[in-house]
Amino acid sequence: MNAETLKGHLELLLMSALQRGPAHGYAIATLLRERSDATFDVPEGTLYPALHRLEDAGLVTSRWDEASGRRRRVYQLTAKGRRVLAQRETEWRQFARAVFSVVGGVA
Amino acid sequence: MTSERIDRYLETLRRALKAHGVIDDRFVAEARAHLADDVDARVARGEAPDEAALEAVERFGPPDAVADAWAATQHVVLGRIVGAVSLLTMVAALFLCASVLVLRPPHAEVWFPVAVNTFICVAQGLLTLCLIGIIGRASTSLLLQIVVTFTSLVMSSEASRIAVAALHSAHFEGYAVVMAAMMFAQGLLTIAFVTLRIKQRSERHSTLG
Repeated sequence: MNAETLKGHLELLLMSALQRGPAHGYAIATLLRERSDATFDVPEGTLYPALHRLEDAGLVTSRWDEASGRRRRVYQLTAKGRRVLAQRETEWRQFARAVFSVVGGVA
Repeated sequence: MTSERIDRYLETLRRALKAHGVIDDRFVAEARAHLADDVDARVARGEAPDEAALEAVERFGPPDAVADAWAATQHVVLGRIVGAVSLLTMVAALFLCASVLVLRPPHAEVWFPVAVNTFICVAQGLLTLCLIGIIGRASTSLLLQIVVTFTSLVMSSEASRIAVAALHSAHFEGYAVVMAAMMFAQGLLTIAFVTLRIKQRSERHSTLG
């Protein structure tokens, strides 16, 4: 998928990836690629600015974690992040249903 | 060879970030861990280490594209201008204060207001440099933004007062007019910078729901 198309949905996808629990950037990138069957295949380095934006907005927090001798920054949804994610998910489902009805109807 | 390739990539990324006005060691540390995890996962799947490193850096993205994505989230150019003006104003204020204290001009009573204004300039300048990230990591603290905005307002109004007094003074004090202009510019630029940051933050909130 074109990176521009994904851009508007990236934050929702990142928050959804964190819904299962705290994760570091590599794990989030892997999860996005695998669960989308490689449809969401953007340069992984560009996920980090989006993660930092979510942190600036108070929707995720992060901390350094050391495991297997490697230091990684682990991201976690905040309570506010969970509320915003639930709201955005509902909106997205309504939007997707409406688009599918129109596009599916035409096809 | 594997770690050399990763090191070279990270060095290029650091340079690209710097060229875009972004100084963020935390991101480079995250990138290093990300690439090392990717290489380990690929080697575990049977790829040769060097090929794994090459694939990992390709998947992470061209350094310029990654740096662009970073720069797009920050008001880098305005931040640089505000930082440069803050440093310049601090140096000028300290120089002027030292001159007044050492030389003791005929209007000796000016030392106190000069010292007060120097303190305002230095305090406001240091807070602004913290906010931009020239000192430490760029801060997003709302309290710091409020304090910086307040000190910028104080600075701009004090600059206006100094300029008016200097222009109406019997002796034309050029240094006071120059100092007032610098303080005024710094105050307004900083307020513009903070306003843009707050606006950007609220846009993010509205975009995110």
